Amino acid sequence: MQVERIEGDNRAHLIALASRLMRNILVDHARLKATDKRKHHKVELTTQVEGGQRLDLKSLESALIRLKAIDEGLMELVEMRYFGGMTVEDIAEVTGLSEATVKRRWLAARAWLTDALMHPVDQ
Amino acid sequence: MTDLGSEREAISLFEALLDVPEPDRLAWIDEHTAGRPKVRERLLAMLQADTLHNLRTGGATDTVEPEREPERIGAYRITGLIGRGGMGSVYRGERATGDFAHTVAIKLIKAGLLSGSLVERFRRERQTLASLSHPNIARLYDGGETEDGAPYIVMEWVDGLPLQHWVEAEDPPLDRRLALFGDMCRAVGCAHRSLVVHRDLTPSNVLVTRDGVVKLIDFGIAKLTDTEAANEASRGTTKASLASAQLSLTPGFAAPERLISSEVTTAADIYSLGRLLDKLVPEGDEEIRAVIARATAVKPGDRYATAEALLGDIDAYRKDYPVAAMAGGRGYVFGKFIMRHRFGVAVAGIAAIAVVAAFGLVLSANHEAQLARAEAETRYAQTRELANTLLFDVYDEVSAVPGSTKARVLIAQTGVDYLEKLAEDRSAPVGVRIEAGKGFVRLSQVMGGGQDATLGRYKDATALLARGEAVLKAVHEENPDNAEAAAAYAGLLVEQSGNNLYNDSNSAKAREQALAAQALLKDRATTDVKLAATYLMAIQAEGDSWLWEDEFEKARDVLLRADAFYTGLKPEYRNDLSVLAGRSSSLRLLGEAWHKLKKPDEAKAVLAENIAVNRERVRRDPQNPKVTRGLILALRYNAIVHRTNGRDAEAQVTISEAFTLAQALQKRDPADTGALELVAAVGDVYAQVLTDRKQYDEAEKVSDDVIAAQRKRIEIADGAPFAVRGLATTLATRGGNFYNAGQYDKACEAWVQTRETWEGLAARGQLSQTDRTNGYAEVKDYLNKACNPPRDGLGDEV
Repeated sequence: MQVERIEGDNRAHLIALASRLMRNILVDHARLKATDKRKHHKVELTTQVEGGQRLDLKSLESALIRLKAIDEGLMELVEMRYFGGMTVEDIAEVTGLSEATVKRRWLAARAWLTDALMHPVDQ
Repeated sequence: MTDLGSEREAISLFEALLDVPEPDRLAWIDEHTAGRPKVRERLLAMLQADTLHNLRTGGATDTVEPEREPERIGAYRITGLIGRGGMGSVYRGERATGDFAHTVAIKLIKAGLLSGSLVERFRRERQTLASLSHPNIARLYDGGETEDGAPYIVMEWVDGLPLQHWVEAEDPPLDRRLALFGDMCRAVGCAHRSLVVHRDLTPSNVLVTRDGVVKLIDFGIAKLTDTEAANEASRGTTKASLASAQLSLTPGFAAPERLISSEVTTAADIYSLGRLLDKLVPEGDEEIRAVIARATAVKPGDRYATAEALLGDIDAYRKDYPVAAMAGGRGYVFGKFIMRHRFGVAVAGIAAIAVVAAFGLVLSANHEAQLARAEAETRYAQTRELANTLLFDVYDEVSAVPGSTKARVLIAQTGVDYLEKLAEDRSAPVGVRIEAGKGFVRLSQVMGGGQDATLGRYKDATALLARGEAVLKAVHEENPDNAEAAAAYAGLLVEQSGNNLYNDSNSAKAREQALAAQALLKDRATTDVKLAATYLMAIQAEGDSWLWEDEFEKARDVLLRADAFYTGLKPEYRNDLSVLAGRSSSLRLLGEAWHKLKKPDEAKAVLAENIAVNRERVRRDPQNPKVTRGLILALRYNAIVHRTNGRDAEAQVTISEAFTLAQALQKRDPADTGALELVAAVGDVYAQVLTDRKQYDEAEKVSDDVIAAQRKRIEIADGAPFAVRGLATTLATRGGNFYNAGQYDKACEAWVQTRETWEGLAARGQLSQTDRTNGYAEVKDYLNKACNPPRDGLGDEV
């Protein structure tokens, strides 16, 4: 092989870094938006739109903080998949988990978060 | 409300449950949650939620810009939403004015996402795209801009399934899959002959109609001839345009060269075709593997030169002829259709650029192609640049805006995330690690290092310095001769020293660190102006640690050493603003030492010089709150000395200026604890001076302001002892002023509050020995003598 491969650790770092950065930027952006009352309109969770609907990123952010306390790996998976837009295959490659495990974990994370968003804990 | 154990159990059971067949699930749940109703309840809640789920891969980006579904776009009535992506949405529309229903797909790009020049180019390119006619390419009919300025394109609506779904639904035989892939190659080849590059061929951009016809959608929006590309290149492609070039990349399908270059070539489409083929055919066949390997070669030159060449191998395979890819070597030369296509996209707004840059990181790190070491360093550089931009440029810019505390916290926290990743990587180059360490120092200053306008997050600041120390100490020890590493470590020690002294009252530790920093810089201090400034600060910190212990003579000796060091520097160093900052601090402390040693003339001279130094600093850097702070402190000490020496009128003029400046600083950002401290420190003196001048009402008003500032400070600092100590001191001073004004009831009331404040600290085990023998003993004495009838009195003045 003519080129050296980047070590798995470094790649994982970069992935997690970029996904987290994405999370920060988006959440900051949402906060900024929220302060602009004129433009802000909150979309209720039950409003179904074809092609997916929008979440309140601020609620998601507080749910993620809770999830981190429960299972940090699961929280990171959400960052990678939801904020980083990575596929199951990509996540499996950087986390070293099998694709089946990533898939199972993502489904669990998704169910947990959906529940958490429906029943927010008062801060 | 929720306990972590049950949550973890429920999550883990949920995962296991996914492997349990549907009909057995309830029984399974009963069995596995027996005797644990809480876990059962949580598991059922998750299952319930799962039926409503709403989080899609990469879905977060959609939430950035909520947009309403338009009623019509151009001549088309919108009948539904087909999908959303990062750049915009795709709608289904019908021709509103016409005799027959004509269904189209309309891609609406978010307004403001494309620059004016790109919209112009987009307009020109629509012509080319509209002329692209091929049975396997979705036609482009029309395009324009909405009233809001959002560009849109109108395409043939394809009633079909994305490639992957089609494969899953139909499970077609291999030859059928290859025939379909052959059509894709023909379509791409046709487009390349028309100088159009797709740029983002992915399974979701390949649709198969109900009749089994493959249709490529979303054909390249940006296309430039070689001439235009050259023009573009001569104008220079900015980093933003490079980053945004990656906006449309899909992990796993984009060619590796696209991660490091904004050039888009037909070879990139060949690569994507190879990846699609990989998804399309079952694993195993050696010849097809070879075709895929050639199409997806890392070097563009090693790939098939044209889509037709790739098609040739597919056809050969289908007819059982040997495929060229198996021959190996580099028999494929670049064909004349290899065109260089460069496109630059300028994105409006910093937020958009940052989002895109973050995406670029994900995508690049994500890519499964081999990435060279050089590539890793490029990523390091980008990460560092972003971290530095956030922590230094953006932070400073935001800090200048009044009321920006919240924004600064956000920036700082984002910076922490960056630095953690950088610092954890022990294999990173020394320079990167030094930078990460310095980043922590900077962050700690930002979060509450005590000297600047800070956020008052003292615990965070201490923790951040510890993290910085872990990095910089190790780097210094591993590279003892590296001047940069030594300087960075010394800078950290000076910060830690200040933190230990001002925030933790640990003067011995502070002195130890100040001395360690001096030792690190000893041989280098006069060779570089920044090192000279750090060295001066380190001496100053040593002196301050003695002052803290009331060791005035030792403090004076150290601070005279600081004076000698400063006056020995070459003139251009002496006039440097960072050196002047250390000069100001050491003069102020020296003045204090002389004053405490009862040497009024020496004190007066030094403090006058300090004011002159600080007026000069403010003159040269008027917008910097840190500099204004220096002037305020200089004025304050001067006022104290005037007052002690009976020069009351001069004291009032001086302290009044200081108080006005401090209040203005605090008003600029009410949550800035550095300014609150100033208001308190200056206000205490001001109230005393006003009492001396018998302006009692004025004095009480100032004292009220100071108490409000102290309470605010306690609130921000989470009840930290130093903040409580500040309030106690202010209350004692207030009592003294009332006493001196003859308002005994008010005086005793203030002293009772003082005693209660000290006792509050004691109840939490935070009353230090110094507090016990000084402030606390003093106020008990006042109360005994002046407030317990019969009143003995305290003499004339307190």
